[in-house]
Amino acid sequence: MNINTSTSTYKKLQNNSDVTVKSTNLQPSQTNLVKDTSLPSSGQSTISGQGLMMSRLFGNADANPTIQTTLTKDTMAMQSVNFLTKDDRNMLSDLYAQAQQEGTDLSYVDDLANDLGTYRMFNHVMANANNGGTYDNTGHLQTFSFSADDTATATRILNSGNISSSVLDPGFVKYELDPGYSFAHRTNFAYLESVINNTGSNEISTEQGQTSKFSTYVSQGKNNFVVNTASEVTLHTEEPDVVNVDGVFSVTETGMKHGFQLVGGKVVQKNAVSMPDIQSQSVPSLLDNFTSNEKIEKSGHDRPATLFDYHFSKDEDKKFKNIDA
Amino acid sequence: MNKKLVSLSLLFAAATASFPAFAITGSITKTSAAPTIGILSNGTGPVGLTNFFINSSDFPSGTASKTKTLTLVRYNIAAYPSASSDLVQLCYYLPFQASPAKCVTVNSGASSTTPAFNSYELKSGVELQVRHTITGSAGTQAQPSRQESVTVEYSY
Repeated sequence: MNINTSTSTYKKLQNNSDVTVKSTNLQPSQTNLVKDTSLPSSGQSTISGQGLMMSRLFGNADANPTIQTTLTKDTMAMQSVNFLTKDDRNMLSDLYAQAQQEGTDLSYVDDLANDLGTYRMFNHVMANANNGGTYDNTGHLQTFSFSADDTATATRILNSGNISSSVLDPGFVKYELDPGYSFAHRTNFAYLESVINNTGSNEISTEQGQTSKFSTYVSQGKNNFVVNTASEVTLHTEEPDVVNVDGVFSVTETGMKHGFQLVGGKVVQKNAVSMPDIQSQSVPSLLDNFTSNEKIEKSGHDRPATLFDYHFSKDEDKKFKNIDA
Repeated sequence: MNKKLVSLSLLFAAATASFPAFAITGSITKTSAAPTIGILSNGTGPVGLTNFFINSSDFPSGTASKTKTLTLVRYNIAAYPSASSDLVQLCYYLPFQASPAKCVTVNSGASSTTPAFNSYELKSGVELQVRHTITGSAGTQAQPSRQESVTVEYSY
């Protein structure tokens, strides 16, 4: 890939609309607006690929936010792009510059950057939703697939042999192309394919040269995956004994059958004979037998030598004889 | 002496195996309003988080010392109809931990069930979190379709 980031021409993006953000969670370290006031007001500026990347992802061409590496309750509130590594940011700077040169709508790069950030952010804790991880509320297994077009593109990319030599982290590409992890991806897979097939050489691939293909951004919206629901119920659940809904306890019919009831707002089990109770009553009983047997043992008569012998002896007459003795 | 030890071991085994194990089951449902998310000029919104914290008072009184086994998590996720896209993660935090132990991508607007967190302990201090990242038209306010809730089912 041959990109001269220092001469890329950037037409400044400016949005003058005032956006009032009402949300319970704002990003702690991210500038909210893309408006880049550091650029001249002529509307036409020269900006590096890095400036373009920073402007698009962090709202200011001069921004250089800290690279987040730890997923915490604080960083969960940040946009995933805050987790992009230094190498990611360099790679994306090149992609932005290349996209700008070729007339590719920069939103395609934005989407790729966000998905890569999501991978960096969640890779270590994310479960694969297709590994038996999702059921509907009646116990039917649900799995996720990409749309037919995306499935075909994903298969083509995975079989291309170009993943390891592309500018993208192979781990990310595999994550991105696995619907169990990224069925709700933002990246346009055709654009992803064009980036991967531009194998890092100095040549711009045919696909990458087709600027018209990505010159106008079309969001895939929410239609880039399919939910498959199995016909058979494989997750069998039972009604709990006791439920607590937003702090209010109640006993279900199942719970009532098991002897639970509400007394003064508290859940109690009437006539409860719990496992610990049963065991606490029963163990001494067995111990009693054993110790009785020990006493018999000390008497020196014909007797079972151990508790096992005692409890499992087929010679009932002998057993009772010993007890009697 | 050895005979006695063997006998005591057998005694314990017999005592614990003689009675069928039965579990008491319960569930805790937590409901919370999903946030309205303002879409910024770059077409993305601030991350929307909904948190569900499990307190000791969520369990029946007198059971605090009992070890609960998580058997299922049910969830009702809000959709954002006006959004162009909505990436949703459901995460499970171990008691009083700052980092999630595990997350799973879930479908926007879904009412589903997952056993994905069943290997983790359930006790006071556990937290579940729903995280939305949406895109849409700049300057609009994306309204959630409904409240969000999680239900954890357990036995002890």
